[in-house]
Amino acid sequence: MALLSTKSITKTFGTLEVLKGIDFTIEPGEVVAVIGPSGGGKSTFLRCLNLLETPTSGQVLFDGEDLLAPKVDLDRLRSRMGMVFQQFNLFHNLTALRNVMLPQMNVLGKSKAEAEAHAMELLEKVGMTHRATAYPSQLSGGQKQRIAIARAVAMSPKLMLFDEPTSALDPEVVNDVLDVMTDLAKQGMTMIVVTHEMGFARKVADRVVFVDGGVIAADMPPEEFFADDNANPRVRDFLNKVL
Amino acid sequence: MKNLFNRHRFWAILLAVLIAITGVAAQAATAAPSADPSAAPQSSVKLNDLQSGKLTLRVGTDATFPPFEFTDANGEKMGFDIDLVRALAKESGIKNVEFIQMPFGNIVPALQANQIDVGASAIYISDERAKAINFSEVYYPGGLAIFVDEDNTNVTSLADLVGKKVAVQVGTKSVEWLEQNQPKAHLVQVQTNDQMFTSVKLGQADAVVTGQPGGRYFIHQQGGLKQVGGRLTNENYGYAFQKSDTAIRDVFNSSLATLKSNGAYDKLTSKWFGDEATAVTGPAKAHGLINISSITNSALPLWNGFVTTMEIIGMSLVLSLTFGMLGGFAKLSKITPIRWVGTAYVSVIRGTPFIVQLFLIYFGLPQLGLQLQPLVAGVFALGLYSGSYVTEIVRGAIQSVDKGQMEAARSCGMSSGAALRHIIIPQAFLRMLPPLGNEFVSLTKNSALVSFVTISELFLVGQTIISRTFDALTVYIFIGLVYYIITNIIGFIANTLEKKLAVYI
Ligand SMILES: Nc1ncnc2c1ncn2[C@@H]1O[C@H](COP(=O)(O)OP(=O)(O)OP(=O)(O)O)[C@@H](O)[C@H]1O
Ligand SMILES: [Mg+2]
Repeated sequence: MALLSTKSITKTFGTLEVLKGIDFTIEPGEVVAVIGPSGGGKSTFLRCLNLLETPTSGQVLFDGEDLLAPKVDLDRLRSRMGMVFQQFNLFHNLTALRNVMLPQMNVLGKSKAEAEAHAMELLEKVGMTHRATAYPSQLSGGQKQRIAIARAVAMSPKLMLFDEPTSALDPEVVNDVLDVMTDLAKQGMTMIVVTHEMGFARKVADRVVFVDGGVIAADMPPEEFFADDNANPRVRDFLNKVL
Repeated sequence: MKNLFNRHRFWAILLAVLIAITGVAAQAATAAPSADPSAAPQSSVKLNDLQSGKLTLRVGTDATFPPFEFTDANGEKMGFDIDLVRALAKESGIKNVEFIQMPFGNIVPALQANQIDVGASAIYISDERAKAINFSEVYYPGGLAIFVDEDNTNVTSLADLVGKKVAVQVGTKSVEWLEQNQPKAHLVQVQTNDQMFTSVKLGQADAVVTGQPGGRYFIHQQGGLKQVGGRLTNENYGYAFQKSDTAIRDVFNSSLATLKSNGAYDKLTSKWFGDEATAVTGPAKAHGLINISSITNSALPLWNGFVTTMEIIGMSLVLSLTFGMLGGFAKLSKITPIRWVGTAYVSVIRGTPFIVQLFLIYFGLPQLGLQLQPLVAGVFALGLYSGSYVTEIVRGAIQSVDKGQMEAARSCGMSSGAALRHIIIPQAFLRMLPPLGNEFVSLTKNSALVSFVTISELFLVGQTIISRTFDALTVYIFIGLVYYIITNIIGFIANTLEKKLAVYI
């Protein structure tokens, strides 16, 4: 059974129709790269999946539950979906360690000791134990993003959503973050990654979804997507520009 | 000059409202039912008991009217009435005398209810009062008189007041009398007794028309002024006794005659009003500009006023934060009617003067059956007023927190309440500190205005001291300094807190 699926979701901001009916499915353990031109609706799509934006119409099913059902416990479902933002969005008023601990304690009800032990373990994985007591303002972009990933992973989510996690980073630290994400993928995490990193899409993703003009214009394995003979002229056009 | 005049007008209007309302209250008090006169003890028996020391003579007075009766820096009652009643009692063989503080309007009802034996509070003898109580012989002649600067030679009579600026205390008999008898004088209505004299000294008015004893007292204390002409009106002061009683009154009358003939009475008048000679020509006392004794002599009441002011600030600060938080969140609410309540709160409270709100709460609400203690009304009004500013501070600070913070918290599964508590409010609070510090400085300064609802906080205590010492300069400088220190401490606390909390910036 699919871990998450959407049925013809649309999203309209005022008169601007950003999503025009998206059908999408992801199986457990799959890594899907979402790419496409700027303004095509990638972020809006991703934010509709955990209801940071409420779709104007359509259906979102996650883990067997309808996210748009009237009485659904959204907080509980969201806790099973980690999200990583382009701008990191670490909690400014908390240290790195506390950032990773707070949701565990507040949402999962873990004790302080448990949360701290788990947080230190994950900071270790992302190579950030030495900065555990630093506040976000004292960290570089790459460090912040690795901590943000640790914060999301600490909730033991079934699905991770990434919205251009490396776009705001200096080129030399992009790989630090991509390495962390690659490790996660290898451990079997289900991931939807909006990205402009074609190398990552090609090597790590199981599928590439091309969002353009508010619809999924292509959905195929990376070998096919990046093949020179891709039949879709808009994909070819896009790839010519970014590669 | 124009400004000053407007300011005085402003206060004058406020005080007029105050007096109008207290007048109503006094009327209500006089209308209080009196005790059955037959309940009063037989007076000759009573006089015997007073003379034997079995009973204490109970004297009702409103000790806020120097030089007749006032309260000194240590809370001790003193003044001409106090001294004279003591002397008369002694002369009459009465052993024990006790002075009981009460509002002026309560003295007659208290006599009627046999709660006191004598009313000694600069009471004018009037036919109307004489229906309810008995009066002694005149013990001091009073009435309105004109006072001018001691160097002034062109005002010598009532006729000379044409076109002149005449300082009068708002709500007093002088106002009405001048309007009828010298309508061509320009009245400068001031709030307090001492401001009348000061305005002549400062050249803001040409003359003062006020009760002769009060004017003489000022000259005796401060100098610089002189009386011109005789009394404009004749109103005589007498002591008041219970209607059923004549024995005590009669013995007081004969004692008064004795004191007048043996010189004791003259000693008292010159002690409190100055000798006739000095009263007319001017001061004997040299006064420096700044008199530390005005402060040190009243250290205890000033300290109490300071404590009250701090209590008011503390309580209204808590209330202000509460209202501000509620208002701020109401304005950010997704529910339209709640948002509307928040908007209405800020708009109404910020769009009307604080003093109007204060008076509405203290004087207006009783008409709806809600009678608040002065302190409660003052603190509530201050909290409500300041809270409207805090509302905008809270709203602005919360809105200024990056919305990614909320999104990150929600996408971890945190509820919006938890996100607010752990993430948004702590960050917003830091941003609120500088404007909150400013707001609490304003609150501190506004707290002086609650003196208008009779709360004895620092400012009112200061005014009371000035009414006795006439030393406005020293007292206001001192009080200003105290407020200055308080506001700076608040600023310092806000700064320190901000630095302490800003570790993550
Ligand atoms: N909250 C919003 N209100 C109004 N318009 C919005 C809102 N969010 C997004 N849009 C519009 O929707 C369109 C799609 O935006 P979206 O951010 O989803 O694109 P994107 O594919 O993620 O682009 P990029 O690669 O630049 O991040 C854009 O035209 C954007 O201006
Ligand atoms: Mg985007």
